Amino acid sequence: MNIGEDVRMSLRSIRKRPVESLLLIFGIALGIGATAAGISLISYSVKAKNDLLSQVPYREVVVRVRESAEDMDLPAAPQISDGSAFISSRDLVAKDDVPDVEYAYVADRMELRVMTQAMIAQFENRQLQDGGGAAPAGDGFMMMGPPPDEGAPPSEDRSAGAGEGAAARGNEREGPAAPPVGEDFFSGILESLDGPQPVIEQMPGMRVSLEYFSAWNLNVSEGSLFTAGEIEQNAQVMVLGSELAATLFEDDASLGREVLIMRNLYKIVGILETTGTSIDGTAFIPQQYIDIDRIPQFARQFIGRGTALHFTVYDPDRLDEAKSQLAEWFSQNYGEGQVVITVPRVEVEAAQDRTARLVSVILFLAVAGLLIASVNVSNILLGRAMRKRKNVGILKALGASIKDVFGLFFIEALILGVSGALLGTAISLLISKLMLLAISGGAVVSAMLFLGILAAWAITTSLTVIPALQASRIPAADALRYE
Amino acid sequence: MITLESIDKKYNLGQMTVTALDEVSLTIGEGEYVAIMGPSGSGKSTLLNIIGILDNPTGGRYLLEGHNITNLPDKERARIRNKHFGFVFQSFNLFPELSAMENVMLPMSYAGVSFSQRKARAAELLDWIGLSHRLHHLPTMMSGGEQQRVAIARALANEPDLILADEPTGNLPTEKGEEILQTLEDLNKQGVTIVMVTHNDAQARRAKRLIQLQDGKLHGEVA
Ligand SMILES: Nc1ncnc2c1ncn2[C@@H]1O[C@H](COP(=O)(O)OP(=O)(O)OP(=O)(O)O)[C@@H](O)[C@H]1O
Ligand SMILES: [Mg+2]
Repeated sequence: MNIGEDVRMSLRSIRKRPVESLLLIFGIALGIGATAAGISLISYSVKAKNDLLSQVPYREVVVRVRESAEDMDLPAAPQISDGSAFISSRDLVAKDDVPDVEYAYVADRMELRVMTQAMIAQFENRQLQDGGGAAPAGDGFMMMGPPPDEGAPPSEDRSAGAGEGAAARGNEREGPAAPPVGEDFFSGILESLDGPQPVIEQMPGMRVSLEYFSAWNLNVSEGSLFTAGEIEQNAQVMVLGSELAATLFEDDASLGREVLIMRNLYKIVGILETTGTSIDGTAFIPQQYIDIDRIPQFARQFIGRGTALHFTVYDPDRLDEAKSQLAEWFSQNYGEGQVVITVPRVEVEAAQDRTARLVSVILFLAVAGLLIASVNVSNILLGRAMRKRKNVGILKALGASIKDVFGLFFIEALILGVSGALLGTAISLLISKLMLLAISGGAVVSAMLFLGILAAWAITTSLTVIPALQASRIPAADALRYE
Repeated sequence: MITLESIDKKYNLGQMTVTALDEVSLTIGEGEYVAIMGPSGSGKSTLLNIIGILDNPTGGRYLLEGHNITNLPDKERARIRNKHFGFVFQSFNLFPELSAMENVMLPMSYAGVSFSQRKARAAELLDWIGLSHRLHHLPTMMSGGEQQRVAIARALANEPDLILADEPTGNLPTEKGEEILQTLEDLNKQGVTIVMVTHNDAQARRAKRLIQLQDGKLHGEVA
């Protein structure tokens, strides 16, 4: 018999029992929906895990001074008397003794405040009104305010002749407190600020050491990255993220220009390729070398506190080895227990393992749901076939072969199955979209979801085969005897 | 045309064995009109189903035009039923979701007849049997006699050589049954072989040959 006829007969018989047919369709739909949603959840969490773990921070060992994490808010005094070790970017040389380490770098975060001609003019006006001289600028200035945020070690700034982070804060909080600038200082650089003015007053910045860019696989699209020499000489150079580079000045161009950040004039030497991350909006300046011996003992505490040393490894599987070798290096150089060494990956993995287990349970339930639905569907179809066993006998009497009968019953099951599966696919797309929106704010319709839907289709169709097979094997004479 | 040699049909019900047919030997020639009679449970339907290759004997040989068809594959058996046999049942056995036309067209679709030809032939058969006004009616909207006429039209769809009728008038009032019997006799006159199971003596006597079954055994034959 041709398929058209089969389809027509099937549709009639489906229409004849609308409630049962709808139940079948919804059963299949829910089963498939649940499974596909479960699978998309799994695939999402796997993808999220892989994405996360492939990021640089999860291929790193991070070394900090012991107090750094816990005692951030303590007043400075107790820490000074503590007399524990300090570490600085100098200690990045530990890399040379640990073969698993690929790159070693420092990256300290800070806010960079940009000054324009107009702002300088404002300062000058105020100073004229106050009638006082400008606060002394330069190495003599010492900030004794609250401890700075992570990434803005004031002693370092001071020694480098900068002080922008700390001073910026001082300025913010204390209002009229004089900034470390003066007339004489500005008069020399006002000319270089004569061109287009920056339109951004404050930008996220990072002090980075040489290998930071390699570790994060960052390249310039224009200009160049810092050289070792520039970092050693404390050169006032700056590399901008692509977005920042395009918006810092009103006319889009920024390469080669100079920006005054508090009292340092930084020359923009490079613009990074677009990454799609926060890096695009960040300004990078060199991490400067410090001669630790020139710093008074009490001030050294500040250095170590802000600084975290990052050691990325070639192979994330060897993070533990790298960690223990680094621990040994630091105990040899500073004594036992002076630094805190963390592997961020370990914590993330532990958290993700818990999620993975939860997600597996969800998938298990979803698949169980599909199986239950499928078995039910199969059961209903079987019941349907048995009720129609008389028809099997008649069909065979009229000349249908086993194959023909199978075809007829299978097509009927398939029509129900495909309707249910289509509905289920719609449901699962909806569920997974809602689920992913709830999780991350971004919907990912992955290939895995489609695989899941496909698998669910396969299970459903194979279960519709059974009743059709069963029906087609009913002996004609028995079937005819059935009333 | 058909030769049965010592056909047995036994049902194994655990401890017990039911013998539905016991060493039945029978020859049915081309163009014959055979009635089968016997008490309930004597094996009449079983014999008819075996002749129609709807059922397999548990013993003996079945020769169709001299060929042993006992071990033919399902597909071949289906083809023989489709092309050469027509079945008429006591309870009509029309498909309730199909119209009269569609019921008659069904066997032709297994024979690979094109849609337009099927339609034309079905209409022609229904017209011949006096149901031209019922082509698109569903069986539920027709009387018993009309339904049985549709069933006969369906049995004739592929121009069978043999019509197997199991109590075709059993569910019909006398005068409607008489119409059906007339139709079958007309067909026989046109050369179609008829084998009919009946409980009705008068009907049986109108056949050219009467076979009596008792407890699965061929009890006697009146020619
Ligand atoms: N599937 C089966 N399993 C067991 N026994 C069966 C089966 N089919 C038929 N029989 C038995 O075979 C015997 C013959 O049955 P059959 O239907 O051929 O009788 P019949 O002469 O057509 O009776 P009726 O006049 O009531 O239609 C009966 O005893 C019946 O119970
Ligand atoms: Mg019977």
